Amino acid sequence: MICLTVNNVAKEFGGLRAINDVSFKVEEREILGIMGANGAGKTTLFGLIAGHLRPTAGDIRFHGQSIVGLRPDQICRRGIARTFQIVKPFGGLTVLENLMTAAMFGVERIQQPERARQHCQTILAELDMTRLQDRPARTLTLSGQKKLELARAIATGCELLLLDEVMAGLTPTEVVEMVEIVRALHHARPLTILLIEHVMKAFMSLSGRVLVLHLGRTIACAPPNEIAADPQVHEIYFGESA
Amino acid sequence: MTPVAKEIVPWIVLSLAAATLPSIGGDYIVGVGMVLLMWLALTQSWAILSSMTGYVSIGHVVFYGLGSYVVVVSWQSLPLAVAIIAAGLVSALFALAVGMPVLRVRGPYFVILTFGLAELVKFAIIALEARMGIASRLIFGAPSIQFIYYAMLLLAAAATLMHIVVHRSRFGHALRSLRENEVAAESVGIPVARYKLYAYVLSAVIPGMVGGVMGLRSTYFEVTQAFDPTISLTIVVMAVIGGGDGVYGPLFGVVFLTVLSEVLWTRAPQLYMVILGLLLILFMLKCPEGLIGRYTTWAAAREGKQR
Amino acid sequence: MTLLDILLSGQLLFSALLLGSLYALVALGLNLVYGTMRLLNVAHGDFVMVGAYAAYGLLTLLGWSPLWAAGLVAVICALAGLCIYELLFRSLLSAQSSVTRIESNSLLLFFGLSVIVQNTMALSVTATPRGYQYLDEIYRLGGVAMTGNRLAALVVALVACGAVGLFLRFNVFGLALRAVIERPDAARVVGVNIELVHRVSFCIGFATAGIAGVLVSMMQEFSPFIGFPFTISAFIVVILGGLGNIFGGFIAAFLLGALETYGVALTSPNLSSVLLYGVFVMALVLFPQGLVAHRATR
Repeated sequence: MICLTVNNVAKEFGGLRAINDVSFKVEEREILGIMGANGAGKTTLFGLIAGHLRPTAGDIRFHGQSIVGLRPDQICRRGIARTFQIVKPFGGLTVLENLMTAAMFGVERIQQPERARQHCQTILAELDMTRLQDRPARTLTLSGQKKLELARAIATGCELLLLDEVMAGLTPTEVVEMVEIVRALHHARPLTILLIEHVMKAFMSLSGRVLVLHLGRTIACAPPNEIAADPQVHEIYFGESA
Repeated sequence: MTPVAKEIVPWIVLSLAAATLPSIGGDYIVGVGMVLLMWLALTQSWAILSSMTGYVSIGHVVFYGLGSYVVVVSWQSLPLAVAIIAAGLVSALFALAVGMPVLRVRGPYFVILTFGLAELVKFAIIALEARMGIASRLIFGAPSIQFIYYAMLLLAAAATLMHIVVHRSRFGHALRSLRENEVAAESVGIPVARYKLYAYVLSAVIPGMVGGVMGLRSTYFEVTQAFDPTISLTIVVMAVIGGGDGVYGPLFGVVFLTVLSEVLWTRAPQLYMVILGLLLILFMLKCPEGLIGRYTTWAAAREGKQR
Repeated sequence: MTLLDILLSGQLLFSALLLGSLYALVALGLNLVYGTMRLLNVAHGDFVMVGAYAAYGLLTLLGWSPLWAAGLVAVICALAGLCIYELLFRSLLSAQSSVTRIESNSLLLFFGLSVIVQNTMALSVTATPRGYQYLDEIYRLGGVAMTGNRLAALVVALVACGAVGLFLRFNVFGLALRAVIERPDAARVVGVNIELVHRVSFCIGFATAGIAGVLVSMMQEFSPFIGFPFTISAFIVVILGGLGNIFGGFIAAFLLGALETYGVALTSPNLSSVLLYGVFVMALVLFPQGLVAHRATR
């Protein structure tokens, strides 16, 4: 079943075309990796899907319904959550409170504090963050904050998760840990993931399919091993005759 | 006892105690008490916006002044209680009307905007009065000091209750979240613009009514007095001194400053202003989280060490 | 007077030019302090007031002509600026973490400073407005009548603006200053001494405010509380003209001067404050990110 459809989407900033006629479909429960050099339009794409930006052309449909023009909070309640390239924790709130916000205002909009707390504590346990739950978010290490960002997005009860460079800034050990966490989270619930990542090993091992963006256009969409062998991709990344 | 009840009980006790004051104290004490309660009402209302969302208002007198004007203009034709409620309503409507564009302005720009907005409304009303040919408005038959005291007590209790309820509610949790990071808050489902507006409007209602009641205290109504920036500044200083993230900060700051100004017995408003300015600077530099905030961090650290 | 009379009046044009040049001078200082440090100096206008009183003091106590006193006043204000920077802002800038917190907290600091300056002055010299006569013979230039002090004020304001403008444009340190306004982190990386730039900005900022105050004192009565409207107009100019854009600031200043002069002539003096604060509120609401977004769209 298709859960997300991106149709001929374009985004202009003044004179700059950041996204130029991008189309793709996302299957439920798949992990679609989005690859491209800096400036290729990846984060812009996430911004468009999550509602922070409005496309200058084209349509985005979630379960058949257009989400163009909706506010980010409305899109969240439909079931799409995202993490940010530069983490945005609620610094002064505790780890648990960060997740509570998501639980109380996300898809399920849980009203009773006890149920919300249980929901959040379950997720924290999955990520092995229970001992951190009363710590102010700003006191966490980068790795901790990245995990928090991920946990918070999951706590919204989302169905489609946009992960924007969750591995950025992590040590190799932390990257391995994060890959496992993402896999485990994906396995434990009906989750579809769109993944932007520069750490290639993690990216290739997690993605079921890979979408390659270049200068705002899609140039390929295939399983990782095919992408790795694709001459066009090679040319873009390594120059001719690689 | 539920947590909310536990938090309200001390305040109920305080209110009951305060209610006995006019029967046991003389005019002077009642006067001081009335002023203290007025500042409490104003500061607790202010905190609903500025402490909870982080959108600091240094122009909150605009609601006070509007309320004052509404009552002064209408109290001869309406029952007093209705006029006072109308004051709160007009204030809230004003907040509703300007809130959306005003709250789009971020950080320090919002702060100076609130000041400019208050001055704008002040001068607009002055121009309006001039247009209508009204030089001044005299007030005859103003209510007694006991009436005003009880009105202030009621408003202070209402403002504190409002603050407590907001603070403990889901709405309050959302406000605290958007204070930390608006973009992230929106991405986890909080309708940020709408919630900011609610906080703004809530913070306007009671100051409008306070202004309405206080407007009747002097024998004539002066627009510049009703919109005096000192009022805005005092609220901010009281909140900064108290600090913290709940209802006790404003109480502490209000009591501290009221006692200080009575002790100093300053007749010269300018000296008082200088001291306010100095206090503001001192606290901004040395204790920006306020005394209650300092205490909370100290208490939490002590608890952490004991574990 | 008919509408046409008003629009073509040389008298009003002169007034508009004069007001514009004063605003340009005051805004220049604010632009520098705000531009280099992102500090909203709401006390800026109060140093205009200080300059006015300083000129008055020098005139009545020492018999110094305001035009010559302007130099000393500029130095005094510059030193005051330096003291304020050292005492108040050094610790603030190093201690705080987030940029927005610094901006909001510093604003409250400046607010406290403003209140202190205004009321200390009121305590020392009372709040009664003061004034003095200086150069008030009337000259006629091209059919427009003006007092000597207003003409002198226009000239001095334009010269001062020009001098600072040239400094920023052609002097190496001026270039460093502009770099810090534009990209502070990049400026640091290429070796600009940021702290020195901050100090110099504060000094020039307060000095220009002081000079503007001297000019104001020549032309009108002044009290301890005249500062704030100047702060507001300076902010309007900086917001509309663009952060760090000195030339844009000049244009915005003259536009504001014209708006006020002609606006009041067309409506009534009662509305001058309404106009000023109205423009202020509109400017902030239309550019909600302050100046950053405004810059990006240019």
